[in-house]
Amino acid sequence: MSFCVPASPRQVVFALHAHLPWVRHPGQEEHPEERWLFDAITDTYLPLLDRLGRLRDDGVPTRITLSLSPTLLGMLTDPLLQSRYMRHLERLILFADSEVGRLRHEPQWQRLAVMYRDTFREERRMYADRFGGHLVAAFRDLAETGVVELVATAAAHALLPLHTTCPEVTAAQIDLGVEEFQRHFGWAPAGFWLPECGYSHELDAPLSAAGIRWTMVEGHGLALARPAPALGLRAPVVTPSGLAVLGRDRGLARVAWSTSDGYPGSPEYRDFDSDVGFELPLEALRRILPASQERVPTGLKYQSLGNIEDEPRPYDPDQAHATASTHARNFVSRCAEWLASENPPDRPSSLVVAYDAELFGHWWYEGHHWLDQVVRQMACEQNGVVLATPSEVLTAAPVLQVAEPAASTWGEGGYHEPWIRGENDWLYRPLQDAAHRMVRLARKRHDATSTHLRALNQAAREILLAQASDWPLMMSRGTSTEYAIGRARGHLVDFNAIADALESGEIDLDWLSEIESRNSAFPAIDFRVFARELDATNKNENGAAR
Amino acid sequence: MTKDWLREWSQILSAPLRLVAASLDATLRILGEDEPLERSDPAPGPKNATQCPDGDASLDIPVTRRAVTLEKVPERREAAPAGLGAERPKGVDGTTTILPRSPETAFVFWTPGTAWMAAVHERSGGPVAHLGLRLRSRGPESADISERIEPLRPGAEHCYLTGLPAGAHVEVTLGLCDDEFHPVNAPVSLRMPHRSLSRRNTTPRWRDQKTGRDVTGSVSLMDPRSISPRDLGRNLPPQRETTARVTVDSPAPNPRGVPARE
Repeated sequence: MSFCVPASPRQVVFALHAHLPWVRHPGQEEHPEERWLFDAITDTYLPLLDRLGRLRDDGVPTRITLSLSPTLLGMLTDPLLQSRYMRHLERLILFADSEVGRLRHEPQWQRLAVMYRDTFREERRMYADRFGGHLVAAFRDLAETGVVELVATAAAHALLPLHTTCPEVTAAQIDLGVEEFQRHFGWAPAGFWLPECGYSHELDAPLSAAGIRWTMVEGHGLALARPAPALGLRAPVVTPSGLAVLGRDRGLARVAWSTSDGYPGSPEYRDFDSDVGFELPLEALRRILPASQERVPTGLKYQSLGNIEDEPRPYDPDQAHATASTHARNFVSRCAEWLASENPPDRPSSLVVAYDAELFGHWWYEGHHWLDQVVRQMACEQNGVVLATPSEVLTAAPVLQVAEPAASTWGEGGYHEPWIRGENDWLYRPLQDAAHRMVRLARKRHDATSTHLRALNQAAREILLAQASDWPLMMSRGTSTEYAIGRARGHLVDFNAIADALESGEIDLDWLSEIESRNSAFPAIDFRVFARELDATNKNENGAAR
Repeated sequence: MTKDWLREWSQILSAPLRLVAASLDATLRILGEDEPLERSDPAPGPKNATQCPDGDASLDIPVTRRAVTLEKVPERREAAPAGLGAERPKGVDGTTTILPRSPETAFVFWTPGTAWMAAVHERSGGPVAHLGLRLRSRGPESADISERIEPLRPGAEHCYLTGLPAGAHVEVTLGLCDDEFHPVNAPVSLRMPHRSLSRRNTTPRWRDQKTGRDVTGSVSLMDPRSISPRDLGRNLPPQRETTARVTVDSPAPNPRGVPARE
């Protein structure tokens, strides 16, 4: 028997993963870490929605693959955080306005303050008037018009391979992630973004059981698949359980990610670190600083990366955009070369590039302009290279090689080192103890109602939030370490306290309500997600039921 | 003869007391007590013991034939902050967990449980007894690669295993060591991630996504030579010995910004 695959365009899958850990602190009027969300909305999500909307309105064929984590979806739809974001934006506008006045005698700097003020005003109009505060609905609209393919991910962004010792936890993170996706968007996802691109073979069964058709792994995870993939990274493979797996190309991702040898390090681009929140006297910042008067980033950054010998060089938006357009041309050209090299013209070939969404706009200010130009130039080029979603790639390549990818992540070193180090390894024992305890509770109290039901659901929230990959990564990198330790530990303490209360039969309703208010992620959670029957293949040797 | 008889009976009679002490100590730990009921001098370890696998040279164990004391063995020197492990195993054998860290290293931790402590204690009247991990590994083709015992310092509750064969199945068992290895916990195993590109001459299987059936016989579409060593090579992570020099390929870590992940 022989078969052939029709000649197919060369496809580029451009994937963005948008995620923030659950940062909601209702007990404090202003909490520094809530600014992560506000900065990401201002710098990344609003500009991304705006750019993608414009591409659609201009009739440019656009296919972006986008995952939005359930914790982020929950925060974007949370009324308290929505109102706090509006307050934050109003303050930004007032502060930028004051900066316009302060810099009235220095026009080369003042025009930047004007730029920020106008941008913030436009974002307020977008957020409040155009989207009505409902960014999730705006992303859904882009999906319904074919601009993006939305993708599910784990409920609380756990690095799943490190939790397969308790398969019920892995299944709960996946199942709840899929359920949250359906609750927010209204349909079942075809794809699943693995947090940190963390893959191990134990994930095949629970992903397939959740109805997932495809996922992505880091390039070496596919390159080292057994047996070796005959087409390398140029085509997905399918695991023995039927899950299609695409491989991310690290080399091409690097050019748009690395500040040392990638585009974002170019001297014309804005310097992320030069924020006036750390440069001006406190008196000049009183409109924007929190009540604690702690210095925080304001988002107003006036300098470019091209400072010469400590002499500040004003950021030039026009020059930076011109450079971004040049870099976009270079990227499109590299993609075409990658797809053509060592590949016969009649063979389908796909390339996967994937990034943190927050790279664009937040870390790399010009990233959205670059992305816009990549999409437009790819549409203009007549070289057969097109943007595609993973689902379209799978449609174009109906026959896939059967292979089992290797365990891998996109983290430093390619495996799990950043999440298992001396700084964070203490976390795994209590996490595992709590996970097994949650499974036992869920099985034993399957028919719980009323207060016990609430307590069990909150216990499930706490253990899920404790498993977020963000906390050990922050401990490992030394960024916001105290906050990360406090959050991981706090969720575990809450979990154990709730479990103790359930076992003693004495649950203080006021106390329970306070915890529910504090950690209100996954409002539709059903704790029984931890008690579902698992397929036999969904258990590994290390995860025998206790 | 009389002395032997007396010694034997004194051990039998004191055994329940020792078990009670072990249970009480464990209970205190459940309640969050950091210190055991009473402390003895640091317990010397086994002869032939080497440096702890986590590389702390200060943990070299002196060569002395002496019993491991009850008070020392379950000490939680590097346990999680108090309050996190509120539920400790009660009256059950402990468990061992192995997590892959890289193709050549794994992180192992265990919860001994009172039965484990009792077992340690029972052996404390005999010859040298110390804690160890027995490590067995099998290659991807099920060929045995190695078996070794990693000595652990008294009181350790976790360690890093290094020098593991990438891609192999690794089985670890927690146990007591003297001249022999006495398992305490059931073995747990893990398949290590792959590292090398071994290109065996296996025939690829291909599956039709619509029918779910395997499709065979195509050579016109798939030429194994089409795999690009250049592409694969550049996607391989750095080798272990160079890992330390690899910097995070991301914008400079900045606590002020939205957390970056890659």
